[in-house]
Amino acid sequence: MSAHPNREELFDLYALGVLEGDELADFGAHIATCDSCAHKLAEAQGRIALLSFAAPPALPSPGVKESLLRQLSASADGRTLDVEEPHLPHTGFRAGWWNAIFAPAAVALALATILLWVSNNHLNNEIERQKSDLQQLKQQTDQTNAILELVSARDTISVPLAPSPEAKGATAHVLYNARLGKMFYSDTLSAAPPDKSFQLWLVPTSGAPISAGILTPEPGVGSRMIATMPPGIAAKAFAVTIEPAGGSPQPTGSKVLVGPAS
Amino acid sequence: MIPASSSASGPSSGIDQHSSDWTLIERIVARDETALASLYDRYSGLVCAVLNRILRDSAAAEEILQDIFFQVWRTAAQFDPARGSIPGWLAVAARNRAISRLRRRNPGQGEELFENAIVLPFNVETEAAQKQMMGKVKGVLGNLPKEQREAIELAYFEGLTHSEIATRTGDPLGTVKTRLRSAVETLKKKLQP
Repeated sequence: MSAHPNREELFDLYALGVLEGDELADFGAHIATCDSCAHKLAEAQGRIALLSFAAPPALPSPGVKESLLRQLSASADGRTLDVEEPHLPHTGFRAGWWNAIFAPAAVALALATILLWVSNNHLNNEIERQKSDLQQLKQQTDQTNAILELVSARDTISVPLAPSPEAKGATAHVLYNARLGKMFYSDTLSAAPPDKSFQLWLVPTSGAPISAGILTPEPGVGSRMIATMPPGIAAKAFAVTIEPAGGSPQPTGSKVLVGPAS
Repeated sequence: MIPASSSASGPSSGIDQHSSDWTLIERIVARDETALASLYDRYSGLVCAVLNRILRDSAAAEEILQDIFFQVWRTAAQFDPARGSIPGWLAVAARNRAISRLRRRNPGQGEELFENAIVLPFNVETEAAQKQMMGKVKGVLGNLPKEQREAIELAYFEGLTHSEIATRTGDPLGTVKTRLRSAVETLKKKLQP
């Protein structure tokens, strides 16, 4: 059995669904084999589930309960469709005559219902897709606005970063505005070594380096990042270091890119 | 068959309002439709609220709501009170299904309802207890720093991971992790019985 999670909050973070990568895999593997941790996780799941009570109150329409109860009755009867059976009189010629008229009409109605249902499903899917696209567009617009604000501010500084021999040929650039606490970074790095991450740092004129985040270069493209920093931090330099996967609170690895702010 | 007087009515329908969740589940296992109707009256508001908050689409929310309660009907025999509570399972099922729909993942209509152990730290079987819990949770969230509250809402109601939240907010990943760690520590302290 693997070691118990070394931080208590991992149970709640796992229940919240925010863990990813090795952290998620390690935790999941341990939980599957450890009863005491599985019990802790059950408690964390319950705590996190309480967040449901923060949702704005909403009541379903009465039709949902009606439909549910009809569904129960249908399943109890062994029926799968919730259709009322018509009570037509069975009186010889008269019944046959009506059946001759209504049978094709019922078939046509059923076909029309199926077509409407398919069309409705298609429209619902389309609405879902457009909502998702709209959300992505909003994110892109927000990012573009942040870059515009940064570029157009007179007190924004532009800092090229020079590569170490380890990252020979790579280029990188930082736009930073201390007043706004905003940074835009771009590079042409290729992927980090296995089990390692590139991490971007702001080195202030006084105090320890501040992480601006983990870089995730795309093959042939490099990395792009918009970072929000605490406002009012004067920069002495910017650097990218190689850190253990997921990053470090402070730089521990070698510098691959460095640029002095002045 | 449900008597006409009890079908599709609200909490004042004459359906048993006083049985425990476990008693209702035992009756559901015995194929008592009025028991499911009672359970629905008790928790449909909670489930519907979660679904609406995540999906912001009442038609889709009601479709999933009905499906979840029908799944309770079909799989009630699997319920083990030692492994958790009904409102916990219902809330988690609602969240999982809604996020799957939102992110266009396979919603997994399957049997996950009672699969994971979920121990709710409070009994919320009555309407009054649910209202009290609503006030408590909103109070705790409201007292979190704004960035922590936003991060935890993005995680719970939009199903985003650490790095997805960092991308969405433009904040460094380390900052997001710190915020969420602080937020869940506060929730753990404040949401104890």
